[in-house]
Order: sequence, then structure tokens, then C-alpha cells
Amino acid sequence: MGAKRILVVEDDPAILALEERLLRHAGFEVRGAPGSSEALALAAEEEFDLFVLDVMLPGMSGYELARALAARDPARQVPLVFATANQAADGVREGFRTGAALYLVKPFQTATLLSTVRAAMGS
Amino acid sequence: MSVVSPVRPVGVLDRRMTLRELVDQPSLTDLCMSFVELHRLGVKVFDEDGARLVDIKTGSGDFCAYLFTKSPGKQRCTETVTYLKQHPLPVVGNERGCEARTCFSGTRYVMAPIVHEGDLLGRVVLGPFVPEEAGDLSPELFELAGAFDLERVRELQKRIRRASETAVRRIAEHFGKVLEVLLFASYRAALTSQMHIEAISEDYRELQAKSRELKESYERLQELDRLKSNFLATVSHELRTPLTSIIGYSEMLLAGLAGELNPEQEDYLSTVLEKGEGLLNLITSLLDLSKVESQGVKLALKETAVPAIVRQSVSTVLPLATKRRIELSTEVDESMPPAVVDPDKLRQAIVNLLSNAVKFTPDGGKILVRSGLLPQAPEGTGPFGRASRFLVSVQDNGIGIAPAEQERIFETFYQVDSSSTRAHGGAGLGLSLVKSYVEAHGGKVWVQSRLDEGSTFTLDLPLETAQPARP
Repeated sequence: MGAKRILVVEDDPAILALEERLLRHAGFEVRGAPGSSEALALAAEEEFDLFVLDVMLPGMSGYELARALAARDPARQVPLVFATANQAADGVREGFRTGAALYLVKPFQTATLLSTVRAAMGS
Repeated sequence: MSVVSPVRPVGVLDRRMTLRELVDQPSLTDLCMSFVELHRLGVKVFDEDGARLVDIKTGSGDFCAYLFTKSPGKQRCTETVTYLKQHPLPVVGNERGCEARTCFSGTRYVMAPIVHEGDLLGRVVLGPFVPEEAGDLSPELFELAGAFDLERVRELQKRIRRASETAVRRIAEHFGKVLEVLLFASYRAALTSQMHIEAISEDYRELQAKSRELKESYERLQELDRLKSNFLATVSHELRTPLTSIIGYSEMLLAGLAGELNPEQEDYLSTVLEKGEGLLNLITSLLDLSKVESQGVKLALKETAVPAIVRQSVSTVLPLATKRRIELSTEVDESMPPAVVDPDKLRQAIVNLLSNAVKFTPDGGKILVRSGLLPQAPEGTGPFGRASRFLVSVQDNGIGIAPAEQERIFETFYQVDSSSTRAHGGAGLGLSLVKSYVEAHGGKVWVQSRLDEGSTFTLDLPLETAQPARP
């Protein structure tokens, strides 16, 4: 069995690099995308076990991207983690309505990122 | 050429009032009744349009009714009445004067104008009377003799007063004078009440304008508040994004992901991490506080196990306490029933108290957290005899708070002295949030403290917070 594959979508390059580095170090196979179009292109080529999506992406929001990703392959439900720097609770409810598995508030502790990702994949 | 005048409501002084509006009908009827009794003459009052306000007959009823039953009589009678009601009164000098009118039956009426402030408002009609100079029945009645029993007519006519026209004209003038007085009094009363009505209408218009202004400024404030909230949310987001990297990379380096660190490097990085986390707490508190100030505290109430909340709060500050070798112990009543509270707000209140305790307790100090039902509370006893409040207290053996400061520490941004900010971090927001959250639950928070001995902060909360009424 190969390593679990994670697609991380984040428009802040520093945070994207941080998340990629931490997840890779934890043994996951990670692809990073700086925006929605790159994410959809990657998802068309490869299969993933988890999406980690920033909510405030330029253009398409993280929630819209989640719906677009889910629409590609409705039979296969890929677990979701939404990452956001929005502290307000309204965003959390919006995230759950979209069917998000879990929610990660930025800034996060490295341990929280890993435990959230593991919890979302149910392992 | 047209003159444009500012639009304004028609005032009471601008408008001509009708007789019906001016006189009090019962008073007018009373007055007429007295005249009828005094002079044994019928009295009718018509307004300008010929509408009847008063009609009192005396003696003439049967006479007129008999003549009215026969067709020629009916027609002639109607002609007379129409004349009496509507025919323009003669102009005497500059004004209208009296006029006498003789009916086909030989009886006579005197009409007199009703004038008020130079306006013709209507007329009073006195009669019928039998003119003093009249002999037997009128020649016209003889012409219609075939239709009537003249003997009967003679009998009925005897019941009608005989009077000289001069006398009746004098009476009519007299009546007009009395009526003028009545109209003057009525007019004053009408004027007064109209003015009251207009004053009230004016007040009402002013009030409407005021409430419109209030509504507009309220809407402006709401819009400003919305903009402020958006602004705060944006600022918060923009500050948290770089902090994610600052905290994340520091942690990653400290975890050795980029290679082994020497103790000095580790020490420096720990400081970066600690300050980053301090900044994050400040941003979080600022946004929470501005939310509390703009919207009040919104509680999401649910049944909550208080001991679990206390344990979670303790575990949040445990790493920091351990680092400072502070002994953090708990005395939690595990048997207490669940409380209806907002668990997030309760947790944050306890965490804020614990963070302060850690901050102001020297290395190697002691912190004790207690929770349980309020003991011996005669007033706080619930309907089934059980205590209805619970307490959470955080006790430390830190630097303590002087009595003069013990109230003020709950104020926003208040700090005992500004040097403590540099020594201990924080901006004086934590306790003011604790106070807002606890008070939103209908509870209170207080402190007992002695300088250099330590402080005990206590939260006193109802076991069941009532759902707030929807505004």
C-alpha cells in the first residue's frame, strides 16, 4: 500500500510550502496548488485521498472549489479539510453545510494540522 | 400671471365655516323652542344651501296638513316652502334684510338672514301667522273652494296666532341678534377646538419628521457598524495569515525539520514563537471584544458538563505552566449536574483567568482550579430544592492586586501598571471579555486578593441560563 495522497490548495505561497513540508514529513504524498484552476487540473490527472482547501481563494472560494471537485467524481467522496484565517463562526457553519469533514483555523499548531488531516481521513 | 404661494395646510382662520359647523344643534333647538313658546310663532332655520336645521310648528300643524292633503294645496304649499328656503333675501343697504312672504292660504312668514362676520350663513323663518289686517279666508282659498271644506279651514285657522307683520319683523330681528351671540360663542369654541386639533396635527407632523430622521440615522449607524465588522474581519484575516507562517515555520524549525538546532538558536526561536502566539491572542481578543461591543454577547446555549470544560481549559495552559514549573491542580466536583451554558464562552472565560494566573505567578508557584455547585445558597435554591448556581474559581499565589485596582481590572484595556505589559504581555482585554461572557449568562465575576499573597477569581453562574428573548 502506497502513501495517502493529499492535494493542498492555498494561495499564500509561504503557507502552502509550510503545509506541504509538514505533511510530507509526516509521510504523506502531497501535491500543492496555488489556485482553483491548478487544483482542478491536478485532480483531473491524479486521484487523491484528501483535499486541504483554503477558504479565501482568489476567484472561486474554497467552498465552490469543493463542490467543483466533488462534481467531477460524485461516486467517490473525498474527505475535506477547510483551512481559514477567518475567526468568525459564520464561516464554520458555511463550511459544514458544504459537507466539509473538518475545519482548520489558521494560524494552527503543526500538531493540530496533522491530527486534523488524520481525523478527516479516518485513520 | 400666477402667484406661487408655499403649500400649507388650510388653517381654521382661512376657511369659512358653515352654520351646521358653527352652532351646537341642541342649543339652537333649545333657543328656538323658547322663542316658539314665548311668541306662539313657528320657527324654521335653514343653512345657506336650504338644508333644514330646525323646524318647530305651533298652532299651524292641522291647518297646513289639511290644505296639504288636497292636490292644489299640496302644490301651492310646496311652492311656498321652496321660496322660504331658497329665495334670495333682499339687499337692504350693504346687507341682506328681512322679507315677508304670504302663503296661498293667507298666512304669512317673515324671513330674516343669519349673518356671522359678514357672511350669510342661512336664514330664520318665523311663521306662519295670520296677518292682523286679514279679514276672512284668503281670496285664493275661495277660488279653490271646491277642494276644501271652508268651514273646517276657518276653524283650523283660528288656532294660528294673529299678529302684525311689523311685530313679527321685530321679533325676527331680535331673534337674529340672540342667534348672533350664540354663533359668537360657538365660533369661539369651534375655533379653540380647531386650533387644538391643528396644534396637535403640527406636533404630529414634527414627530413624524423626527422619527424619520431617527430612522435614517439608525440605518446609517447600522451601515457603519456593518462596515466596521467587515473591516475588522478583513484586518483580522490579514493579520492571521502572516502569523500562520511565523508560528508554523518557528514550530517546524524547533521540531528539527530543517536540521538540529543548538540551544541558543532554540532559545531565540522559542521567543519568536511565544511572541507570535501572544500577538495571535491579542488579535483574537480584539475581534471578540469588538464583536461583544457591537453586537453584545450571543450565547449558543446547550447542556454542558462543567468538569469537562474545566479540564479542557486547564490542558490549554498546562504547557506554559509546566515550562514555568507552576503546580496546576484541580478540585472538581464531578457529580454536579450538567449546566445550560455556552460551552465555548465558559471555556474561554476560564482559559483567560488561567492565562492571567500563569502570567502573574512566579516560577514554581501554585494555581488551584475549583468547580462545583454553590454551597449553602438559601436564595440560590432551585424549585426542587437543589442549588441553582455553580462556581468556578482560579486561585494563585502570585503578585496579587491592590484593593484600589480590584474593580478597574475588569475594564477594557485597563492594566494595573503599564510596566506589567512589558513584563507579562497582554493588553488588558482578557478580564473584560470574561466579565462580558459571564454577565451574558446572568452571572458575575469577582476577585479576592492580597498584594504579594495571590488572587482568587471566582465565576458565579446560573446552572440554567435562560434563553434570551428575541428582540
